[in-house]
Amino acid sequence: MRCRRWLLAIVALALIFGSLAGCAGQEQPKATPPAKPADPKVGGKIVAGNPYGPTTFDPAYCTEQGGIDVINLVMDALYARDDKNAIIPDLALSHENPDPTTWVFKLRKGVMWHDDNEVFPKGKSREVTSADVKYTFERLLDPANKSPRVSLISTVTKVEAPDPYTIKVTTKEPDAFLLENLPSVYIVCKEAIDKLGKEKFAKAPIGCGPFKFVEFKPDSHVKLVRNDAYYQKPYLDELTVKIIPDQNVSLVALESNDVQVTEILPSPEIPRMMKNDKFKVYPSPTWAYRYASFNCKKEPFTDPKLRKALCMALDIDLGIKAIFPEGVAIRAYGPVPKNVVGYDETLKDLWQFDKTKAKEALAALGWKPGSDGILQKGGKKLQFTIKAPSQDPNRMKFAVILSQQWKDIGVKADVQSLEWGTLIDDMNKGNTDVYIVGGFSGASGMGFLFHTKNQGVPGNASFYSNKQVDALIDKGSVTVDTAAREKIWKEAQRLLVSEYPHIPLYHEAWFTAASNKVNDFFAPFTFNTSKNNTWLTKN
Amino acid sequence: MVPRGTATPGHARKGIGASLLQFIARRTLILLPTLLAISFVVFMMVRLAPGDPVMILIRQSEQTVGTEEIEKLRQDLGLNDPLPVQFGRFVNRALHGDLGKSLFTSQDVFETIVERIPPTILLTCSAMTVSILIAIPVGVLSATRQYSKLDYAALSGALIGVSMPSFWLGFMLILLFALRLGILPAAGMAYLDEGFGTFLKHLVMPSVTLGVGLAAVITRLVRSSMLEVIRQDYVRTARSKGLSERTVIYKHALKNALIPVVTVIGMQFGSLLGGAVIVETIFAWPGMGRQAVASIMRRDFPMIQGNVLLMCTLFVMVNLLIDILYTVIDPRIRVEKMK
Amino acid sequence: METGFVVFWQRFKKNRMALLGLCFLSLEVAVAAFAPLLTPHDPTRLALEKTLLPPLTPGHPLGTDEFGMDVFARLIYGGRISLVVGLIVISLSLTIGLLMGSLAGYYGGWLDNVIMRLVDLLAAFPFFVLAISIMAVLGPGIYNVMIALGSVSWIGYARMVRGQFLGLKEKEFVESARAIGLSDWTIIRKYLLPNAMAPVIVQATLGMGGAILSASGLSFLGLGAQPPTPEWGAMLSAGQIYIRRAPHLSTYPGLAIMFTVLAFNFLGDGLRDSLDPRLK
Repeated sequence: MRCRRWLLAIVALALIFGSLAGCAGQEQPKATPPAKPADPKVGGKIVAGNPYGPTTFDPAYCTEQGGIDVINLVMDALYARDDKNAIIPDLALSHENPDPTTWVFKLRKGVMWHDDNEVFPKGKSREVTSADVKYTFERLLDPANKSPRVSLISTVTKVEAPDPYTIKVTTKEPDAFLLENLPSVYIVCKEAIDKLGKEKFAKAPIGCGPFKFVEFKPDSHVKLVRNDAYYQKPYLDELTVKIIPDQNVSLVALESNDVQVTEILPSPEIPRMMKNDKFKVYPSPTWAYRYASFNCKKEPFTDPKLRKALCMALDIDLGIKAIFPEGVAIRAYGPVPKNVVGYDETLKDLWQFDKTKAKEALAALGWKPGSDGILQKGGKKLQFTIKAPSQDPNRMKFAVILSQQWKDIGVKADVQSLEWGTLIDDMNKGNTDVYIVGGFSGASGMGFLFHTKNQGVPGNASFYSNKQVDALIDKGSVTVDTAAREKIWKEAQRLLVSEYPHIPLYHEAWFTAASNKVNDFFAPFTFNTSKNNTWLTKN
Repeated sequence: MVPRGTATPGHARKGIGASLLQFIARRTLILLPTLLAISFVVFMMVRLAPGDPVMILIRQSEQTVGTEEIEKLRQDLGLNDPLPVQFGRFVNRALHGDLGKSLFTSQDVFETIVERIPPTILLTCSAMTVSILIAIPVGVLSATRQYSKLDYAALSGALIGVSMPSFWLGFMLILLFALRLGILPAAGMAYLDEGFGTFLKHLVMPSVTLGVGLAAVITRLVRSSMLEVIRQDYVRTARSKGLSERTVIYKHALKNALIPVVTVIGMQFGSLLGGAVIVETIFAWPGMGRQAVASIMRRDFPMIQGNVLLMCTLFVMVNLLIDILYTVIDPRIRVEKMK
Repeated sequence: METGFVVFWQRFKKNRMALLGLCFLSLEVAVAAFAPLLTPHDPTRLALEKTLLPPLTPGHPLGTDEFGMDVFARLIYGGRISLVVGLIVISLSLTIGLLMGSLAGYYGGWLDNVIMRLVDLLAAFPFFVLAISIMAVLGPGIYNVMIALGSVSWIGYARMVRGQFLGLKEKEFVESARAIGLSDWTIIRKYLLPNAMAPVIVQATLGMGGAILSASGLSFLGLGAQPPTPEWGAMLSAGQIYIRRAPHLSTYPGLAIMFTVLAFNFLGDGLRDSLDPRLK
C-alpha cells in the first residue's frame, strides 16, 4: 500500500514539474477578468515563414531584411509605413519645420519599454521619452560605433530634448529624405544597451513595440509574444517567425498550415494562389527597381546616341511577359518606382522597340554588318559582355533575353554570370560593359545611382555624369516640400533617362501570401501599426 | 580477415593500456599542424577569390560611403595589413580561443558557429542511423542470396537513393509527406522541449534525404564484407557443427563483417558534413553547412575560416574516436595500429 | 591477358543489372552523340512566345521550358554536357590520383610521407564546402565545375593505387625488371599500374555518377552551368520553382540524372564483382 502512495506522489510531482517546465520560457498573457465579454478577435498564434536568416536585432547594425522584419515588430520608430508605403505616425504624433533645417517632433505619451526581462523587471519598466530618442540618434551618429546605418541621418548635427515629449533635430542643410528615413531609425533604450552590452542586445532585443522578444534560435526561428502594455494592444497572443530559406518549401508549409504567412511567394505560384480562396495574396508596398546598365565610361558606350540605338533593339515587355506571371512585375521606364515620390509614367514616350530603326540608327553612327553578320566600325566589332549575378534567376534570364535580342540585329553580347561578390568587385573597378543589377529603389535612390559624386560602388557604377542632373539632384535633396521635390525629381529623371545610361527593365513587387484566417495584415511582414492590428478568425 | 577467435598473446595485452594512451597522444599532436595547414589553405584560397567583403557589406546597406570611409573601414577590420600579418593574427587569436568577429554582423565567430553545431551533429547522426538501418539488412540479404532476384531488388532500392540529387529527393518528400499527406512538417527543426513526437517528425525527412546516399555506400561494403566472411573456414565449421543458419550469419559472420564498415563510417562522416549543406537549405535546418555557404558568398573571411576550422576539427576528432573504437573492438588491429 | 578478359566477361555477363547499366549507358552515349539528328530544335534558342508548353504538344514531345526552349532537345544535348562533365572530372582526378599514388607507393620514404599528408589534409575538408570555395575563386560556369570537382576527388584513387603498389613492388617480376635496367617510369607504367587498376576502374565508374550528382548540387546553389546552357542539374534546379505549375521541367532532367547515375552504379558494382579475384 505504501508503494502505491509513493507512486502517486511521484506521478503527481512529475506532472507538476512537467507542466512547469512546459510553461517555462513562455510568457502567458495576463489573465485579467474581463469587464465586458471578450473581443472575439483577441487571441491566437501565428507562425510566419520568413526566407531571410536574421543575424542581429540591433537596429544600428542590421542591414538585412530578416533582422529588420523582427526589429519592426519588437521596436517602434518615430514613423512607420503602411501598406501603400505612406509614412504614418508611430512614436511621433506630428512634426513641424520652424525653418528648413529644424524639425520638431511631438512624441506619443504613455509608451512603455518592455518589462519582465533582464533590464526591466516585471511591472518596473519606464516610459519612453525624448531622452531615449536623443540617445538613439546620437548612438547612430557616433563615429566610435561605426554604424553602417549612419547615412540614414547623416545630415543631423544636433539633437535636443527640450521636454520629455518633444524632440528637436537640427540638420546641416535642408534634408528632403529625413522623414523618409525615420521609419528605419528604431528607438532603443540606454539601460538595455548598457546592461546587456551590444552583443547580447543584438541577440535579445528590448524595445517598446507591439511584441516582446522571447527567444531566438539562429537560422531556425524567433518567438515573440504580445506586449500587453502597448498603446494598441495586439490581438495576437504569440507570433513566431520561422526561417525557411527555400520559397517553394515555405509555400508548402503554408498550404499544409505549418505556417500561416509566407513572406515571399515564388512568382510562378502567384496566379494559382490568387485564385485559391483559402489564401489571400498581398503585394508589397514597395516596388524594387531592376535594370541593365551601360558602363558609360567605356567605349563605345560613351555615346548616348549609341546607347539609345541599342535600347531600341530590345523588346523588354516580351521579356517581362515571359518571365513573370501577370501583375508581378511592371515595365520600368525610369528608375523611380511606383509609390515613391517622382514616379513618372510619361517617361514611356522615351522608349520604343523597333529593330529596323535600331539597325538604321546604328548604321547612321557608322556600324555596318561585317562578313560574319556582326556589326563593326573601323575594324572593331560591336561585341561586349553582359554581366549578371548568378544567384538571381530572373536577372540571369533577362541577361539571356537581352543577349538574344541584340544578337538578332548583329550585336554580339555574351552573357557572363558572376557570383555576387565578384560582380560587385567588377562594377567597382569599372570592369564592366553591360551589367544587370537592381536596388536603390527608395526616395533617395536616384542620387545614389546617377550623381557624379557617387561614381563607383555602391551607387553609380554606370559612371554616368551630367552636371545638370547633379545640380537638380542636389537641389531636390534639400527641398523638404514633397510637391516641389516631385517636380525637381521628375525633371532630373527625364533628363537622365533621355541619355540612356540605364536600361530600366522592371519594377518588381514581392507577394506575400497568408491564410484567409489572417486579417488586417500588411505585407510584407507588418502585423501592427497605427493603421492595422492583425487578428485571426477562429473557426 | 582473421576472425575474433585468435587471442592476443598475454604479454601484448599488458602493454595495451599504455600504448592506447600513446596512440591517442600521437594523434592529438598531429591534429594541431593539420589544423594549421588547413587554416592556411582556406585563408589563401578565400583571399584569392575576387570580391571584397567591404564592398559587399556597403552595397547591402545601400548607402553612399566615400572612398576615405571605405579605406578606414578596411583598415579597422584589419584587411589592409600584409597577408602574413593577417594570418599570424588569426593563428594567435585562435590559439587563445578567439576566432574573431564576423565582418557582417560583428558577432563573435566562435559563438555563432558553435550554436549551429548541435543541429548539424543531430542531422548527421540521424542520417548515419538511417543509412545503417537500411544498409545492414539489405547488405546481408544481398550477400546471402547473391545474384537472386531479391539481391537485385534490394540493391536497386538502396542504390536509387544515391542516384538522385538530394535537393530533388528532399523536395519530392516534402511534397508527398507535408503537402499531399500532411503527416510531416514541411521544414525546420524542432527542439526536444516541443515534445519528442514533434522532434522526431521534423527529423525524419532531412535524415532520410541525407542518409540514403550514404546507405548505398555502406550497403555495398556490408555486402562485400559479408561475402568474404561467409567463405571463411570458421563459418563452414560453425555450419557443420549444426548451428542454425541464422545463428551462423548473425552471431559469427556479421560481427566480423562489420569491422571494416566501422572505419568507413568514420570517413563518410566528412562527406555527410559536406552533403548536409543542400539538405540544410531545403529543410531550413539551422546547421553549420548553410552558414558556411552563406559566409563564402559574402566573403566573410573570419566566418569562413572559423567554419572550415571547426568542421575539420570535428571531422578529425570523429575519425580519432572511430579509430579508438576500432582498436577496442579488435585487439589485433590495435596492435597493428600501435606500431 | 586474353584469357583474363574472357574470364572477366563470363562473370560480368551473369550480372543482369550490370548488363542493363552498360546497355543504358551505351544508348545514352549514342543519343547524345547523334543529338542533332534526333531533334530539329536548337537547345539554346529562346522562343519567348511559347513558354511553358506541356508535354505532348505537337512539335514538343516533352514540352517547353520557361524560355520556350524544347525540353527534349535540351535533355539530349544536356546528356552531352553531363556525360562530358563526368568524364572530365574523372579523368582529371584519375590523372592526379594515379600520379600521386604511384609516386607515393613506388618511392616510399619522404615522398610518400609528403603526399600522404597532403591526402590526409584534403580528406579532412568537407568535400562540398571545398568545392564551393574553389568555385568562389574560379567563378560559376560548367568548366570551372569540372576543375573544382576534379581537383578534390582524387584522394580515393591515390590511396588505392598506393595501397596496391605497396603490395606489388616487392614481387619478383618487379625485381627482375629492375635488374634488366628498365627505368622506374617504365616499370610503373607497364608492370605496376595495370595490375593495380582493377579496383580503380570500379571506383572510377562509380565516381562518374558521383561527379554528375555533385555538379547538379553546385547548379542548385547557382554555381554550376549558367543559362542557357542545357545541363541536367541546372535544368532540374531551375525547374524546381515551377514544380507545381509545370512539373515536367524538373521531372525529366531529374529522371535523366537518376537513371544515368544508377546505370553507372550498376556497372561499377558489376565490374567489381567480376574483377575481384577473391570472390567465387
